[in-house]
Amino acid sequence: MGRYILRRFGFMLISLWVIVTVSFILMNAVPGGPFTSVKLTPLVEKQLERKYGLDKPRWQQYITLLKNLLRFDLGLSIRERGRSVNDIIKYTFPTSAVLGLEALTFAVTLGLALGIIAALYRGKGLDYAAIIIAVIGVSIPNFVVASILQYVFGYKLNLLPIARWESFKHTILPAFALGLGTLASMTRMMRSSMLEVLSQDFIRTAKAKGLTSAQIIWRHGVRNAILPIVTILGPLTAAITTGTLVIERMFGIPGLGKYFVESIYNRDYPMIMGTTVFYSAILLFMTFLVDIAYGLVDPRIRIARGKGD
Amino acid sequence: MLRYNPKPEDFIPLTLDEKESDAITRPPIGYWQDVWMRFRKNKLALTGLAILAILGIMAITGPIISQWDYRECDYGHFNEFVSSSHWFGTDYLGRDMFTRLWHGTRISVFIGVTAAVIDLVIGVIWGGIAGYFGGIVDDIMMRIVDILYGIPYLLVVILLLVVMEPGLASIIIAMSLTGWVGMARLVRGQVLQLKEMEYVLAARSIGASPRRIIARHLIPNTMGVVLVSLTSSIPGAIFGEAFLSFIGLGVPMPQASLGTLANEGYQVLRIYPQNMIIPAVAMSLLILSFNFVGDGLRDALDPRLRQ
Amino acid sequence: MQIKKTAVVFTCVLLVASLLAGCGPKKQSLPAIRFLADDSEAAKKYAQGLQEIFRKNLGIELVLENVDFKTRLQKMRDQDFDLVFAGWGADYNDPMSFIDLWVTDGPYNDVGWSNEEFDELVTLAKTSTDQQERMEAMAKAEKILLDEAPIIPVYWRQRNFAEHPWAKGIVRTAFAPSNEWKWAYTEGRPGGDNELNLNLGEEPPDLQSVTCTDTVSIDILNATLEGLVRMNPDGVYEQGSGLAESWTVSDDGLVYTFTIKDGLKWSNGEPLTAHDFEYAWKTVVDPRTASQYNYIMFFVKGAEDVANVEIPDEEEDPEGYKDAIAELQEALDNMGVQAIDDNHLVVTLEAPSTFFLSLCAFSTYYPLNQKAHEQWGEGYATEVDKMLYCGPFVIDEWKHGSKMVLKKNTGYWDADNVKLDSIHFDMIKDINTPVTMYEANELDAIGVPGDFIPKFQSERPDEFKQMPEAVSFYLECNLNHPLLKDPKVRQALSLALDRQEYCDNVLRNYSEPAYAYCPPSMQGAEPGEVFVEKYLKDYLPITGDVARAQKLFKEAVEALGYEAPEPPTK
Repeated sequence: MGRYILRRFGFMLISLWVIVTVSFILMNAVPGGPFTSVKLTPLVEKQLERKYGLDKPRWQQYITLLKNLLRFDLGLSIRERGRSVNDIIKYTFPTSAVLGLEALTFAVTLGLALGIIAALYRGKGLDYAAIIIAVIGVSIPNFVVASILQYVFGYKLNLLPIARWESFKHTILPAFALGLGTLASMTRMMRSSMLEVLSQDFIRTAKAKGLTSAQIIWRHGVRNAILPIVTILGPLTAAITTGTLVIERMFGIPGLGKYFVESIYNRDYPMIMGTTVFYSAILLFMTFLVDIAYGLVDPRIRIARGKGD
Repeated sequence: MLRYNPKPEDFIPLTLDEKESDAITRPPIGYWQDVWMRFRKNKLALTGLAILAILGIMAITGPIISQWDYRECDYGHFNEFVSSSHWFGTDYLGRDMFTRLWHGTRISVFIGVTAAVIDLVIGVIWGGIAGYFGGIVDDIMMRIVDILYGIPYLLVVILLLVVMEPGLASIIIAMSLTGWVGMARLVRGQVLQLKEMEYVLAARSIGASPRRIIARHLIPNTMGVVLVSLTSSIPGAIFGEAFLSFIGLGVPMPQASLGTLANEGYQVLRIYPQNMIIPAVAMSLLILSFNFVGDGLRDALDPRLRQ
Repeated sequence: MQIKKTAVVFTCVLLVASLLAGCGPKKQSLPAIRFLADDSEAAKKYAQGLQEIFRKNLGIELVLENVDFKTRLQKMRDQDFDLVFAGWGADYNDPMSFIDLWVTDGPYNDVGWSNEEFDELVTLAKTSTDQQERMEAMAKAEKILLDEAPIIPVYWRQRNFAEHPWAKGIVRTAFAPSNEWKWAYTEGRPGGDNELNLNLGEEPPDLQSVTCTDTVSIDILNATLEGLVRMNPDGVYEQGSGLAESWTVSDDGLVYTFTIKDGLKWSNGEPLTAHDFEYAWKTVVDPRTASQYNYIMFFVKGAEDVANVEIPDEEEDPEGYKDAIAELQEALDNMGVQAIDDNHLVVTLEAPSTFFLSLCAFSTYYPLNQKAHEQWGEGYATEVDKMLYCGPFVIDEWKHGSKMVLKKNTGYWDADNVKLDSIHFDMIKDINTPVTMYEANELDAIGVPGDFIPKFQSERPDEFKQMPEAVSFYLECNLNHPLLKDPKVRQALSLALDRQEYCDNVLRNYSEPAYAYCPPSMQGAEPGEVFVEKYLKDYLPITGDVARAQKLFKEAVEALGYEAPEPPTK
């Protein structure tokens, strides 16, 4: 197991390096630069490039970048003058994380519950109701959901704030709008996973042993059905805690999400690199954790991997 | 002891009917026929299929039966509500929303299906090869997949779209570039399981080439799972395009997709809600039916769920 | 047999006919004209409206290319466009801010247009001290520009906004700063008086006055800092309106002597003196600062020489670096700004300027405390406590990307006239959300997005207002394009453009159809006189002249050897 973890970890670093390199190439292929603006004169452009080290040859910039990354130094943002990318991430990520985790908690708990109910009442009214809720959740874009929520709860009923990011009350609408999609896919996944488990032989055995149905559902059904869902929880957490762009923009939330897009529009090279590395690192790390956790939980996987390796 | 000697009169020749009673009277049910039979019983899935058919027909005929062109501006009639000359109202530039909606549906479905099919083809080939050969080939191929999986999808898509000329092709390429990864993983997993099956062993022992085994045995047997995944990746791609539209990278003007229409409508949501609601409903219906069909298909494909 | 014969004859006829057709003067089909524009929702609509007008009136189909802002700028610079939708905003209140873009080899002359007479007129207008003569020269130059049509003016933008009846005294100007809050106050505000809730729309990207270029930051700086002068609510620059108590101008108009007010203090209690201005102005042009607005300082004598000093990399070329620093120091010493004592600042200009005082109110000309600036270095003005204030307000709270709270500066020299206690800013980029917040009285004033105009017109006619902006939008033509290289084609495009219809039917945001290039917010020879109105009124027909345009276009295109398209009949 130790060797396996070490290998996975080494592989993680290699992946990260590839990602950095690809992003570096792509980033430099985008037309325009961080200083491109209507009123930029060639004179000042040269001065600015000197100042930010962009007048050096590309390969030198690349080496500097790698060196700085090894020291976890993401550099200074060009767009938000004087602020370091590390600081910006440190400042914005917790906000995104709070929002994301709140949405995730809501989506996962409710989604699992709905999924279980749907599976238990398969083909009956409750099943259809759960499916319909789930599918509607997947099929309405979240900006639509968000603006309806804002209008109804914020403006018409005046129950919750329309926007801003100050107290727990301010987090309810955005978390709901953000989580709805995940809730829906959770429901669908849990339903099918549960159905599959319930048709297995050991459930029949359990029934034959005379266990109560609550015991069967909990001990044998849910526990086993939840396993495949754990695997996607890693990437899902990474995605939902960083990919909150649309919701952040609509509710005026100071999160990390907007930087993924805006840094590219602003050609803010250090910021593009910073968000990419940060996001990829989180994603890879989550996958790594899940892999290991899964390996620990399910011995079959370990054996299969041993073979595959 | 009484013994009975059978006499010829005791025997009656079989009638024609009786002769055939041993034969299998019902035609043999193939795998797909079986699937279809189970699928047919699923009301939701059938409804989904019906909605898809209606949307498809409208996407083809809608722009034809309308008297307007999708890009034609009817100056003086801006953001109008539903009327007899504009059945779904007009947009900001006085363009007919009915025509644009069906034109947009066409484009969205086109993007969704093309992107999903590209994902499917690359994913199946990649996953099939990796899964079948295993060992070092699998290791290298899957590590590449893992790396691609780790690259933030959004970043690559945006960067690519800014680098490439704006257009339908760029959007599809950008979305497929990272999209096939999931399919490759899925197919590999399936192939890993299937290749241990006896019939593969049998095929191998009579000297079938790996190409033949992959193409004739493994891939057809993963088709069920792949098909289900396809029905969820088409709406995924449609959604993806809608998201790109929201950040301004959707299909270029004056084309329309459901995503760009919904986004244009979103700009005026508070004033002319119909401009967003109509494309949003169409998109929801489209995605909804794909999902219903997908769910139905999965249930139908999985014999264990048979009741 | 019969059939075969007919076939042979038929084939011959076909052959001859096709030969004959090939003989006459060969007409090529029209080369495509690509039309580059931004990719924001509004920009897409505007570009498409223009495409539609040219299709309708000339029968040509522009190929739309919507790209993101920086890509557009880069493509313009590389001349990788045929036609591009571009705009320019004024730096100062004089037509020169627009006209001198198009001098031969000017840094912003993307189309590479060159006209000797135009250049001469611009030089004359730049050096003359006679206002009348200057204006006439610029008017003549603009006429040449409009006749040759390397650029085709389209519209002048208006600013649309709404404010609740209780929000009063916010001064909005056509130039940066676009919002002045010093004199703002409230009467009967539901959430309590002497407070304002406003939306900035985004995080101010740069609050260092010496480098700042964006309007959001400039608005905040204008509230928290102050220059030698400050514009009064009626748009004039009075003696004593800013940190200078008074000033004198030498007879030749070249030397300004400013007397700084007594007892001025920075927010940390340090005295604010003439030296803070000298340091700031020299920092702006110092090549190590790399300030994009350094050219606004070039009116000061010797400033451009400072900016032009090339400093090599210290590690690669230590000798050259040392020499360059010495050269820089000399240039800085020779620059025409000097604090002769704590209270007096002497400024020498390159040439007499009629609008220098308005520049002294601009953020690039604000003072900067050397000690504080050096102490925080690159991090200056990135946090509330890493910057000094000397304006009507100080920043009390700054949550990056979310909110900023300004509080009245009790140490400000004119604090008695500042009525607001605090201003609360949100940074919400979305379009719909601020409108909803305004309706819920959570915001006291907002900019009204184009689509919302009819809604505000009908629901809140008293709160909805407009004002002109110092911005002009026009099409730039690539002079190397096989069609656009011909001035006649460009004129035809200009004539085919029904600007009135475009503003009424496509923009629908109160923008004014441009009958010339400089917007009407640019002042003429004296305050109150509008440059374009006086010299260029209706120079371009705002409703276009489609018949003439079609004729001109057909002639020009056929002379170039192409087939003229038929405009659609409808």
